[in-house]
Amino acid sequence: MRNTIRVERAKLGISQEELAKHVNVSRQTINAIERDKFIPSTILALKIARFFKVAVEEIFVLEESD
Amino acid sequence: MQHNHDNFLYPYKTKLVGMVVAGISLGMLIFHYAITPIILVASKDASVNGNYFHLVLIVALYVIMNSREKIEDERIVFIRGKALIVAYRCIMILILPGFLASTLVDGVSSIPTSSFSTKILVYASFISYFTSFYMSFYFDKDLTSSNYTSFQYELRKKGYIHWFYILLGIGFLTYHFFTK
Repeated sequence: MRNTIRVERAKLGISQEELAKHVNVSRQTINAIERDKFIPSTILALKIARFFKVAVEEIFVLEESD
Repeated sequence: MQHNHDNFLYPYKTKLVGMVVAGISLGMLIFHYAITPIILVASKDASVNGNYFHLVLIVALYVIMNSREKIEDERIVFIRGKALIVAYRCIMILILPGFLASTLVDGVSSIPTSSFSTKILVYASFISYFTSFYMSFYFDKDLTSSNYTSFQYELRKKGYIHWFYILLGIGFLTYHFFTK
């Protein structure tokens, strides 16, 4: 699964730290998600999507290998 | 909907206390082993025992292991679980060959229970836990996953993993023979 969190962050001009604070996780967790090293739970995925005001499918995209 | 990530865990401040106590007890332990030869020379029948320092260090490490991180989130819970698996495997790898060796050689199933072997087991489990936890925490290196190019993965891929365990078993048997 890939995601567009980095792109969405760039659009809003916010750092990983700021996003992490808004969704109540550590900066390392946001970094791990961005680099596809950690797949978030449904709740966290929804929180991130809500923060960016987009649908969750726009941020998290399934790949052929999934 | 709320997730409770801190079940059975001590607060973050407890971890800080544990780290200070662990540092002090480790320092005392090093100091103890450094001065032990001097004490033994000074008084020939001195009974020097570092077990108290070991006990304090082990308790402190246990407290650190069971304390929350500053920001406790689902990834921390996940990597803590993975680190516990690594520690469990480490203990099994250390116990089972010894158990097997004693069964094969003596015909009696017994696990080594000396103070020394217990300390090795405890410290090995802590070292494997903390290594796995912080490797995952800071570098996203997962020691339990075969998706990564690890030593174990390479062994598995090439079908040599059985030889690894066989050699480990032979090593323990040899140790058992020579220390009898």
